[in-house]
Amino acid sequence: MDQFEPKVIAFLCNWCTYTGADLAGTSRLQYPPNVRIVRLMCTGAVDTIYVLKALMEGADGVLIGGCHPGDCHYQHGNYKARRRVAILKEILSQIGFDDDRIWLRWISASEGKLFADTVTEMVGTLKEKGPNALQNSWAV
Amino acid sequence: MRHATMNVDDGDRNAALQELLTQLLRSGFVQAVMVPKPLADGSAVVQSLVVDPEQLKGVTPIAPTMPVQSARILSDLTRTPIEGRIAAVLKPCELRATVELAKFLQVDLENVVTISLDCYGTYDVAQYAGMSGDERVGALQPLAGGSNDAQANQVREACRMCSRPIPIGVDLGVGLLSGSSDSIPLSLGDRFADELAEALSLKITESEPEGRATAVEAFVARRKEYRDKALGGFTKETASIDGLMQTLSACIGCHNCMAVCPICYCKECVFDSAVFEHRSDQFLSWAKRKGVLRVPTDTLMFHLTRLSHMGTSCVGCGVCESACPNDVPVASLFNSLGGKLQEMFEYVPGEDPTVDPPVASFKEEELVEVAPNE
Repeated sequence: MDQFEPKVIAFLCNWCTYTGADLAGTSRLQYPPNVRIVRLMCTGAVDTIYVLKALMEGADGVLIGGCHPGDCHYQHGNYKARRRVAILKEILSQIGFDDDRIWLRWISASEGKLFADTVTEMVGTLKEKGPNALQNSWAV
Repeated sequence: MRHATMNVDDGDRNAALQELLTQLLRSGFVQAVMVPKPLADGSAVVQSLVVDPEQLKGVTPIAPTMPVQSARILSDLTRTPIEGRIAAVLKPCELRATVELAKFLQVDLENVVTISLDCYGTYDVAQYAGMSGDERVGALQPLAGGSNDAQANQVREACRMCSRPIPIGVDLGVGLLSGSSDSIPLSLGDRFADELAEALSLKITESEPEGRATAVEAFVARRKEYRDKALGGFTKETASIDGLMQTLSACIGCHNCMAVCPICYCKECVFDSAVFEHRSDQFLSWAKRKGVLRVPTDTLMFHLTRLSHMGTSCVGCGVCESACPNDVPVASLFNSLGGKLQEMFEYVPGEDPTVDPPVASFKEEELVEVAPNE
């Protein structure tokens, strides 16, 4: 049987983590190809509906990457994102969904290695968890 | 907060409140009063905007029914600046929703004098319409102490589990729960206390009338007991996705709950937008992947998104559940999960106008565990 390859949808902010992912690439760092990146201008623009949609339509995990606290290009977008993610994780954990499938991480434009390491770690964790059952529920 | 007492003649508490509102209007303190008023045969009560004092004769500020959430009406009434003041008679949950909407800049409270009564709970509109005339008259004269068990057991589920039946931060609070057959205690917020005292010829005191705190405490304790029991069971039922889907199984995606919710104020909701007008082949491709697809789609996503958007500000009024054609327990869902979110931020919606709602604010040092690599 083929080994389970998790799908990760990553919402990355333009100014920090997306540029960090770019640096990982230009630095020829290796990381698992399981991640599909969606670039946004700011983590503050990540509505919870995007995360829910991804988890219900085939993603095994969602990574949200933004600037470190205090470094947001728009001042406070990442702080607001942190509250929204906290709210979503609380709701999901209350209804018995493993909220550790959602990762929020701060990765700056200069942290290409941290991006590669984070993706590697997340994919490893998701492989242990196995497929996200929610994507196969037909009546949601 | 200051205090006063209102006299009641012949034990008729509703008539005493009619008189109070009439004085407010006649004295010129307000130019209009928003107050529940029965339609022709009395089986339906609607909010009304009264400017002619004569029209206050039949009003029923105590009527235990809430056809719409009045915070939404106040949002309409204060959309553009108004001259003169409007007094608004609100249930405590309507007051909380109003304060919450004011924080989101959807209500302008500057020229609104809020009046709110201790709430014994409300009946569904159809339930109220089905009552006999005598029953409705009886419901207008709640006993001090809230010992009317029949009413306590028949009001809407959201009311039965409401642990905040007392208005907080109100301009004029009417303490129906306490007092006697010939008087009702009033509380006056600092904002209009002096003007209200003058308009209503009230004698102001600094201390709360004796017995009030005890009566309130006992009433709230009964509600909390029911709430803990009801939500305890509900939380167990919805502790898994399958359990939650069972709870939501009767949802037909009509979005009534969203349409009547006072906190869901967005002019353009994503669920009414083109985002959810999928291409025909999209449905088929979803169905192919899963083998079978529930249609209309997005039931769980709708409720979870609404929870994450406004669960932190839910005031627990339960109009969502009353508006549901299939009795999906939406209010219990928001009371249970929304309550957890509110605990997370130690936030009480509609309580303190100076505290920002959780989704509109943040602290630099918080929730470190959510993004652990900092």
